[in-house]
Amino acid sequence: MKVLALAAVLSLPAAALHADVINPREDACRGRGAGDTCGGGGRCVQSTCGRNDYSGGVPPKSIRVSCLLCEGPANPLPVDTAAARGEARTTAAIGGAVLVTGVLFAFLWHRRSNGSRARS
Amino acid sequence: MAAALAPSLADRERAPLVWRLAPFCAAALLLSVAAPLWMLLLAPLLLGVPHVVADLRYLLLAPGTAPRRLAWALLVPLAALTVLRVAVVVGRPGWPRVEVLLGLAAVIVALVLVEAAGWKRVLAFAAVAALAAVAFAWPGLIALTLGHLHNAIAVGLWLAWARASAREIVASTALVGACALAIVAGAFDGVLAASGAWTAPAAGLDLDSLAASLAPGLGATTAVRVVLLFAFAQALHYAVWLVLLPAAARADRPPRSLVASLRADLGTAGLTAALLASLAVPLAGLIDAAGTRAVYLSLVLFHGWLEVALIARWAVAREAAPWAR
Repeated sequence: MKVLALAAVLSLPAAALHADVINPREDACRGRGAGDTCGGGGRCVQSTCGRNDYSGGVPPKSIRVSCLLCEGPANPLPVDTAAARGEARTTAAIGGAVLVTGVLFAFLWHRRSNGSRARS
Repeated sequence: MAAALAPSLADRERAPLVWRLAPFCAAALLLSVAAPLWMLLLAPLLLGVPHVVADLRYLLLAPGTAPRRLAWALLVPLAALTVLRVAVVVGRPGWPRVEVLLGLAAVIVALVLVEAAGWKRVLAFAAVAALAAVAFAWPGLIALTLGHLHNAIAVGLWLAWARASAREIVASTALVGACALAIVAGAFDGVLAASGAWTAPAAGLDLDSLAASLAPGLGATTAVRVVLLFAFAQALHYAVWLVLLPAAARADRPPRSLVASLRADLGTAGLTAALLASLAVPLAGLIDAAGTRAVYLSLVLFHGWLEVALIARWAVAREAAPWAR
């Protein structure tokens, strides 16, 4: 129980991660060329994408740059839904890293606590 | 006099681990806040190869650390993973699902080649199967998780190796956690805005590309904090691998010079290769710093999986850990 409580406390930072924005269609074409398939029968086509320009500091300015976007049947999701999924995955990845760290440290702490009690 | 001094020296030697960690934690935080982009660029270029060598040395190659057959068996999936990374570096399409499955294959190898209680092994294999399912659906998620996780793993390994007491584990975790929470909560947003540390790219490495790789999909403010958190955690993990963990490991070994110790662990050929690679990366960085950093990070993905594999092994069989001897 103590281990679970400690793991929960150590995992709190994961809850601090939240956000919005993005275009996962661009991510699907990362490293590909125009006309390449991008999963599920879609194709990468030349388009424009949003970028954050940090040259003026934070918060950044939004600018548009040339890029490749995945278009076609590969993209059955509305952009908003796809964006929400992209955000959810990143939050899950970072939250997962924090959670695993919490569990590992709690596991180590638990072993050492038991070891100390066994020695005394 | 000597007798009177002896206890105090011994006490100092046994100072709580959190006091050894604190200066490195403070330095990592200060440097990351002062020049985050330069830290993210230069730390891998200058310290990357030496830290991977330390990783291999202390986790796998040093005599008595791990059975030879385990090292050879792990070589197969991790070398295959590195070959796939090389292919990506030279412009071939990536195989992210295969890469994660090769990483998990290394974990399976580490679990198979250890004697452990049946139920522990079953639990471990169930966890691997669950990870494989997630990896198949979202390979990028596992890679991103590992990228952030492996910085924290270093601190955990050091605490284990230094045989930290329960109190030292809590104190060290609280220290690092407090720094991480301060970053995530935005405590340094104002300082960074005032200093303009994010505004100019560092030799080709810009904040937008870092945010896209370390925090894809997150809003700008959160993404910037995640990038700063990564810079801090990465700097701290280099300090652990290059200073703190070697110091803890030295306490268990006969005293010898650094070169003799490296030669004993890596062999003459291994030591030569390590030295050459340690020089080659910074030299290549003089030509294209951001590009060299990207190639280096791409090629050393295997060492994150090596850590996961060996931690899984030690979790199911604590007597197999080097600090258990």
